[in-house]
Amino acid sequence: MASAFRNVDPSLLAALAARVRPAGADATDRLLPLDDAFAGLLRRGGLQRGLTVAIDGVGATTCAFGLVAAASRAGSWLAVVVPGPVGAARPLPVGLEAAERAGVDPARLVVVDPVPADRWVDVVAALVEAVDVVLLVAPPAAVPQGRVRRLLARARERGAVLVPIGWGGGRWPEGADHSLQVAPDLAAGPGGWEGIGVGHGTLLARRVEVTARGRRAASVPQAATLWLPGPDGRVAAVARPVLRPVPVPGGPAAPEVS
Amino acid sequence: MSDQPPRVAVLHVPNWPAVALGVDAGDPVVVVAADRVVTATPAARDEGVVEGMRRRTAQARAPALVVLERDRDLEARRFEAVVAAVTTCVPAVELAVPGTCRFLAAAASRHAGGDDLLVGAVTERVDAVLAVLARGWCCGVGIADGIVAAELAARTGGGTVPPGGSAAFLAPFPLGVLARPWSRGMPVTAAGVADRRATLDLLDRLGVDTFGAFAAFDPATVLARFGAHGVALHRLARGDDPVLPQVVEPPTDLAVAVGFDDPVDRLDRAAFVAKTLADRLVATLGDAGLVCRRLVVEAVTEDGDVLVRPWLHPVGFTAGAIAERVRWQLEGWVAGPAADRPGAGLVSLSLSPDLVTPATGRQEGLWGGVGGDPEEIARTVARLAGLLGPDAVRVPERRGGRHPGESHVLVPATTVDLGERSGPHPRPRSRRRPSERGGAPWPGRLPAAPARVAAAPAPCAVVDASGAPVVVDGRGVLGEPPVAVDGRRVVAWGGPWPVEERWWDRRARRRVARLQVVLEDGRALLVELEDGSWWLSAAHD
Repeated sequence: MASAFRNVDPSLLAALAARVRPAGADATDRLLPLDDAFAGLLRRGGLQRGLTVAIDGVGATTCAFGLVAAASRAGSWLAVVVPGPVGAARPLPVGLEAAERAGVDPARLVVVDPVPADRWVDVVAALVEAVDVVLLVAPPAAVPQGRVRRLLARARERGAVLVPIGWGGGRWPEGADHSLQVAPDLAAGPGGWEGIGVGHGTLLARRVEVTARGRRAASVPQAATLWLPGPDGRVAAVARPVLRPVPVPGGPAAPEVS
Repeated sequence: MSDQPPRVAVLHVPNWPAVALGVDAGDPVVVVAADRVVTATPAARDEGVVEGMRRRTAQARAPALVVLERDRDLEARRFEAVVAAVTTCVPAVELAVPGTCRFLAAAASRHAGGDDLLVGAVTERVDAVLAVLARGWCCGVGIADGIVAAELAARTGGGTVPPGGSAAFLAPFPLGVLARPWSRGMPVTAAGVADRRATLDLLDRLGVDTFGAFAAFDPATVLARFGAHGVALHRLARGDDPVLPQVVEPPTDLAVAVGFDDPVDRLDRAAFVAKTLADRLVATLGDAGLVCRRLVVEAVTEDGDVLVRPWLHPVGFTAGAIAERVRWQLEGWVAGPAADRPGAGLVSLSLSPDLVTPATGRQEGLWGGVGGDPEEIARTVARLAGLLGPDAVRVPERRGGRHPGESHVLVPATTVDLGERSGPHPRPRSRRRPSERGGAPWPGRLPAAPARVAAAPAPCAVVDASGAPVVVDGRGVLGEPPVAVDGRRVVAWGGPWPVEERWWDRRARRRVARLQVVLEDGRALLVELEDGSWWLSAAHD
């Protein structure tokens, strides 16, 4: 058998092997495209299928749009799940205009809104079967851990990326594979915003500091300064993305990253 | 394999996506979808803009170009008026896509006194309709043996090709026209689009580039070299349409119908009913291994008005596609000429498959790569709609407006053909802001789009230093500056921007003053003052 492939470029064979992997196998090896602005924040520089990327802080929604925009433009479907019911105190639905400006293709966007808390796991589990990326707006707090764990296992198997945003305590119960903390760059202006002052101007663009923490190999926190959104509505790195290690209290000194 | 291709007439309105939007022929305008030019007016073409071009390239060639976003629903609705004009002299009309329709010419032309007179009569009536929409357009009507020749005759200005003259008429045309999107619905084989393109590509490389050159080959040679697809193409090139070769008679009466005890007067409700009917129809056909490619939708109102319209699909209708056609048809009826408008709610709706072919399956590619399978998505959408109700599962459609929630509306996903929407080949989107991407300008829009928009604004407290609500007077001047919103200190603010909308409509008019505030915790909010109270309308999260 091997002799038949003697003259074949080994990289082609590797690509073929990756494609014929059984559908049920762990899908986390495959990457969805990712905008350059985020490449330094996530390990492997792509949006790894099957993982959970939790985002919290002021600006989390725009950050989530930016994170999934490249995948959406490349053909992935995106679902947004907003808990309900209508009328009660509930999270604000997402702004479609902002999503489109951030680069999300509205032709491949499904909005599921409102979702009652007792149906939430079923809805997300159904979406995971069909779409590549599921944006979970403020997931309800009262979901049993066991069911969330099963959901994550299913997402991992199907290769769907879950992006919870604005989760109550800032921590996804099962521990996200990556968590991004967004904090406005207060030195850049009020709330990080450019274009607005006290009684004049209008919101134009916001500079934020995004700190990414991960598990295992990605446990060294990475930080980047991003436009969230930029003046054109898109998410972009501020000038050149400068990566620097964040000191871990009590931990070993992190290696210098240029 | 009929011996005699039927006399077919095709009516084609050039630049229909532009005409439907009310564009005059003399203005340099392009209509774009997904960043590509769908249609360019003659004035735009004179500047060097061609269809399929990227928007940016087109704008570079013609700086004065006006760019409009495509509106497929509007195209379908407005075309209703054109079809109505045709049906005044032709009994049954078949819609291919909005902008083009076909009918069998034999009987109608006997009635009109000849093909030329029929072309004249139809052209005159349709041009009268077009003149109402926009200036400077005329339609083309072509009559010939077979659809290809008729279509090309219609697209080259109109006229008749005498019986038996199709081959001679076709000879000088380049074969490449068969690769154009409009020819996709032409009868070759049900699943032959990709193979047809490959064969055309090969022929082009072999130097066989016109219908005439290809038609000159011996069919046996063509079969040996190009296989069955080549033969089908060869027959098209000779002007000998294989009239829908794989048509089977619907085995039994497959029509599905539903009657309403309570007349239905809402389009969305009718669309949902259509969806359930369509599901039933598609399931029945699927069990028999068939797909429906032409469908007749019949709606009857309480007053006894009937609207019957056939619809065509190049590959085969899915349930979502059927529901969408029903929605188009009813929307067109409601928005159509006043004399034809339905005066009461619907009492019955029926779908009868008119043309049924064996299902050859829709192959989406073995490994899929990135992206989901639209059928899988449609199944999931249907499942969630069953779980949460159809109004909870929606997809965006672009509209326009100056409030953050108005730029898109969400329509129930079960009434939309998701596969057609997302397209088989995702194209890179424009990097421009949507506000620059065609559509109407909305003066008074704020530059940044908020990432979270309230469906129904919630009351909030915007207070000044004395703790009293901030006021904006009738001229849009702010009283005391805002100091806190819901107890959080304001660190920066802009505005107020007064907006007065629809002042001509007593019920829909709105007077709103908007304020952007940045709070001490970093949040940026859009708050609106309406009728003396403040509302939280969006957050720049």
